[in-house]
Amino acid sequence: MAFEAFFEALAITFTLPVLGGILLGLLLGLVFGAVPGLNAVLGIVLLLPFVWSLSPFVAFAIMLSLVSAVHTSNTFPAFFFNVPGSPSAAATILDGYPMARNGDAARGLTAAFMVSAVGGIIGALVLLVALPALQPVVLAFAAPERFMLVVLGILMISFLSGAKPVKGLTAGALGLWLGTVGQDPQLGVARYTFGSDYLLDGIQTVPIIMGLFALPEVVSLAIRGRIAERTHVDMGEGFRPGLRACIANRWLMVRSAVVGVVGGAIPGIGGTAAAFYAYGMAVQGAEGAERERFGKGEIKGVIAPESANNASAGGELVPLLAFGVPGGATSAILLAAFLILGVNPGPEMLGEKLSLSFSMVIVLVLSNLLATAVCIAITRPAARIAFLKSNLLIPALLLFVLFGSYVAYPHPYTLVLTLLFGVLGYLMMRFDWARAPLLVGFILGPLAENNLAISLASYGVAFLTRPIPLVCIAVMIMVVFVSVRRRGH
Amino acid sequence: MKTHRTIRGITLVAAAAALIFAGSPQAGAADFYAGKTITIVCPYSTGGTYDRMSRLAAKFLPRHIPGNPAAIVHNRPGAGGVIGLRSVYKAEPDGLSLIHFTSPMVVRSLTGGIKDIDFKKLTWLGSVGGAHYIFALRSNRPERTIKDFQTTKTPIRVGASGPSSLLTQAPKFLQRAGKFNIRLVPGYKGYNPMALAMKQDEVDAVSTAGSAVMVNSATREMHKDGTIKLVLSMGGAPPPDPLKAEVAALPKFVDGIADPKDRDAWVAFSGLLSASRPFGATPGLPADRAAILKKAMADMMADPEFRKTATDQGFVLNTLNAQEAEKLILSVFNLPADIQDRLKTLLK
Repeated sequence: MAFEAFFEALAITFTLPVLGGILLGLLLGLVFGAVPGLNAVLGIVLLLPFVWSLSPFVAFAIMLSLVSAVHTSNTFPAFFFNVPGSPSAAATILDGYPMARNGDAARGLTAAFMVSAVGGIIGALVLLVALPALQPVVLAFAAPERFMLVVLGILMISFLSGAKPVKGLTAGALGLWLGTVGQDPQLGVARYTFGSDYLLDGIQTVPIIMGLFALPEVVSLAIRGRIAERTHVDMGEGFRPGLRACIANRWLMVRSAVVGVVGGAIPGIGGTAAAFYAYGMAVQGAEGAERERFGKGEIKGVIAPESANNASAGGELVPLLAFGVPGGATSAILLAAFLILGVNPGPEMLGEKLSLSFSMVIVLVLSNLLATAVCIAITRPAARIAFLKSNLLIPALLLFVLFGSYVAYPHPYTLVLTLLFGVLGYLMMRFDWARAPLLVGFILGPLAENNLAISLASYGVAFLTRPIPLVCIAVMIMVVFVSVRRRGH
Repeated sequence: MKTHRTIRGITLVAAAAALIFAGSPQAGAADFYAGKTITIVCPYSTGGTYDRMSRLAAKFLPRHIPGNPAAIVHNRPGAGGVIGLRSVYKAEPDGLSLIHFTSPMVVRSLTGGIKDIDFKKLTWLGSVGGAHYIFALRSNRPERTIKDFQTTKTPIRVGASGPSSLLTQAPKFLQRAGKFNIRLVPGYKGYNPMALAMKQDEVDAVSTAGSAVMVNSATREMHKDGTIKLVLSMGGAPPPDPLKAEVAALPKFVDGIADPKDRDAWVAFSGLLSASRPFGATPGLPADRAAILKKAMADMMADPEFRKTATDQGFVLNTLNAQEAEKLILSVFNLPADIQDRLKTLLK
């Protein structure tokens, strides 16, 4: 039955309407990924009104290829403007942007796109092979496990993404605090809103990213004159060194893809956090001089998050297909699309709708390959952006920053917030404070709070004695111990 | 001369007819709505049932409005739906801003949770559905009767959402009016994560719409294989067809409420469940536009294609027209003061 369903899926996926759907999704996704502020969620929401009359095969071809392409093309602005095209590329900027400044954008981008494809395909294949096997993994991660995983993530990135752990931890704590602005999720009590309806919804992620990472670069660009500090690079150096870097780091690529799949599969964790986990693991695995290069343009710092965030797209589909429970924001919209199309996710996706599940896997593979091919093809001309003069770049960058923030939450205060975070970001950059822990604390803080509250209400403090939380505690102790010991040396 | 008179007569008749036609609400609305865009505000995030119903309305409602305007959905989540509702409440009263929200939100204006919205002024357009609330329990728990729920030594962990959600308010009634030994586990962002929590044995029970149990694949399968059981009928609109017989055989929550005031408070609240999916528009609409929108809503709810599409998506359509929905929903404001006070206490 599985073989029949697979060949049926193959036949349907290679019909003109589905292939056309893949191309359409691909084009939209490349734009939604490359323009800061636009993202996969917005892309799918805009597509929803048009999917009513389509067959599920065509509709999901458009939507899934859009998601894959977003996860791939969001690397461009991360490299050139220090701003992720969408939140899932936030970890990529840590080393991607320094690579562009070192005049090494073509190699970095090529490697990023290649591992994106590999990560995406691994995610899709895991979905194909291990959908039934991953169900227990999803079930094993209840609120206590999610809480400990989130705390581990914040701790790892605070310790590993800067030279000084105290500064990292302080930035992480500031992010956690910013994440509490808005309504308390349990009691509905307003916190730090100063009577403003705008803040009742909490601070939005996009203005923080734009302000913290992109605006300081505008100032920096104005001072330096161009992104790259070198004035010339041989563009021909891009493809082969990128490919060599991927082959040399193949296990990092695979390991990060697995992190991406699992992160995507655990509801609430998602691709953005998974990319930071993968980055943290890459740093943790490095020694000596190589470790010191992280944050200054180390290619492993690009390979790990890019592999993870593309793989997470397949992972996010696991709880959705298996239990009808979305793994993140993107799959929440996909769930709506499923129901609009009259498809009820759940066990029937492994039964009577198996051919649709297979078709989704094939679409993920194809769209990852195509998105990578397109992005690599335009990498060389795109890499020239790094050598453009600042008077050309600054107006475009400012437009993207303000437009992206405003689109995320259309309100004048959004622009004010973006500027305020811009000032904070500049000060952090100036005084050598890592900004990533702040972002990670902000993104993961509400998750930690909510899962802690659920854990305490459901299990009491005994939740800490469950096996996975115990393992997380052990890993946290190890991270702190190893980090302190290394610095002691 | 005669010809002239005839022409003048025809002209007069035509002009009169035009005037009569133009004076009817249909014509006025046709003039107004043609080429316009209606915004249906969904005060919750994208992907949920209210979002999907808003999108269904955006597709089907314009077909029944003269002039066939366009319609878009605008998600304005936040503050338990208040931000979106407020945006429509304070919009220009031109009949272009509609809202689809959950009717038990009106209780928050009794409890002081919403101060700047007068629900009596809202233009009510009708309700596309109601919910029959049930209490679903994991089978590994031994309790089956109301007495069991009240006297059990180990608290039953019941999933809950935000404070203004029905998924929180309903179990609060079980706990406070029914005196069930319940420990609320709040924080789930809607029913789907709660269903997964049931599967993970993180919560023992949920109090939710019967249709939700059947739409979510996790609880549908658990219900099918006996991992969870429906153990109590809480009331509201008629249950969905596949659950009718099973729900009919269940004990009724209202029978387990000892205090008469608590019982009256629950009866008033569960009445809201019968019209839990209303559509509304800005207060103070011109009468002709309000009439057009109410009629369009009624026509949409009777539209076989709309009904089939909605049913295919798992909605249970217990529809009420504008007048019925308004009467039912606003009845909470006519409750005696002591019952209103009791409602506030129970939902605090």
